[in-house]
Amino acid sequence: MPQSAAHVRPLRRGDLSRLAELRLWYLAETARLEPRLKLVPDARERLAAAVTSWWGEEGRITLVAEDPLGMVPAGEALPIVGYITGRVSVWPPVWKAQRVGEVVEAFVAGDRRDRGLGRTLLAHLVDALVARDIDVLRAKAPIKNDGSVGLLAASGFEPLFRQLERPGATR
Amino acid sequence: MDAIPIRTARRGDVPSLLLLWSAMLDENARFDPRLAPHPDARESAAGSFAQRVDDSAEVVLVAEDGRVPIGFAAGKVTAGNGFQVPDKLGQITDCYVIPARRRRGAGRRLASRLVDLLVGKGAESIRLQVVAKNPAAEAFWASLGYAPLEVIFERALPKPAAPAAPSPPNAPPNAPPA
Repeated sequence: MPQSAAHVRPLRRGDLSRLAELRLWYLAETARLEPRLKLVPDARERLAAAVTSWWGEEGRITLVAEDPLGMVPAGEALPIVGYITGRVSVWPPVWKAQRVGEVVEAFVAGDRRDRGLGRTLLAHLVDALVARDIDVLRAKAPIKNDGSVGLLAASGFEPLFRQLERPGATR
Repeated sequence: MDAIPIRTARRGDVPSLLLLWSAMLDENARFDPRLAPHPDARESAAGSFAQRVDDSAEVVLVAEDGRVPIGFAAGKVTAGNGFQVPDKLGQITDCYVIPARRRRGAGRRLASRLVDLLVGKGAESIRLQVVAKNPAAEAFWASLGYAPLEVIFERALPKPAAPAAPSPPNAPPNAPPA
């Protein structure tokens, strides 16, 4: 995979509307791959509010990738084509690892894939989480999202749990 | 063979629940050493089990054999994430039967009763996690209609590099330690 020349930077307040749009694409793609994770009817409105809450949320790290192919007038920001978000969570003393760096969600727009953007975003987030004195890294991916599963596996993540589901009403 | 009775857990079951829960943790750690219990796990769980048994939002069940608890299951109903279905999610947080009392239907009965109660509390779907390196557990749940939805990955952190020890005199480069 070619190394991405993308510029990865922390989220800015002015990115929030674009971030909400990308996050909607992410969830819509997830629903297409896995119908059990389909969106609720008013997901778009809820997403805008939720993404706004990420801004300034203590412990959350959100990074965005600017378009490596973008062309804009001098002085204007490059368009954002991907994001990744994570946080540090402190678990109760069940397992030895308590300070967990969680990779919560990552997405790169479909027409900007296969350029190493996802890998670059993940590497930057991992570095930022490791700097926060964590014991271990964890990440979750829909089992039918081959891209996310493959990226995590190629980045040294190994399966720990498998989440299973069954409908409750059709027993 | 008589069916193993299943009942709701009571305060007096907490010591037995702790033993069963500890055995479950130890078994999981044998499948995957990354799940080694925290030294304070049991002490921490003692308080939380007492609360969980009293909490009407939680369901804690016990399977008995001759009035001796031989397994337990627990779960609760939580709100969905607000963007995806379901709106109300039933989560099975624990389900364990001691090895010597398996293959008599206790796990199946615990799971079935727990799901009934979670659905009764409004759960639209039921989720649980199995240790990825325990295929028998996944096969058990698959036989009850559960299918994989997500994978939770873990990555260890690189250990800080130890300072290089000086080579003994006359040792060739990269010689194994004596």
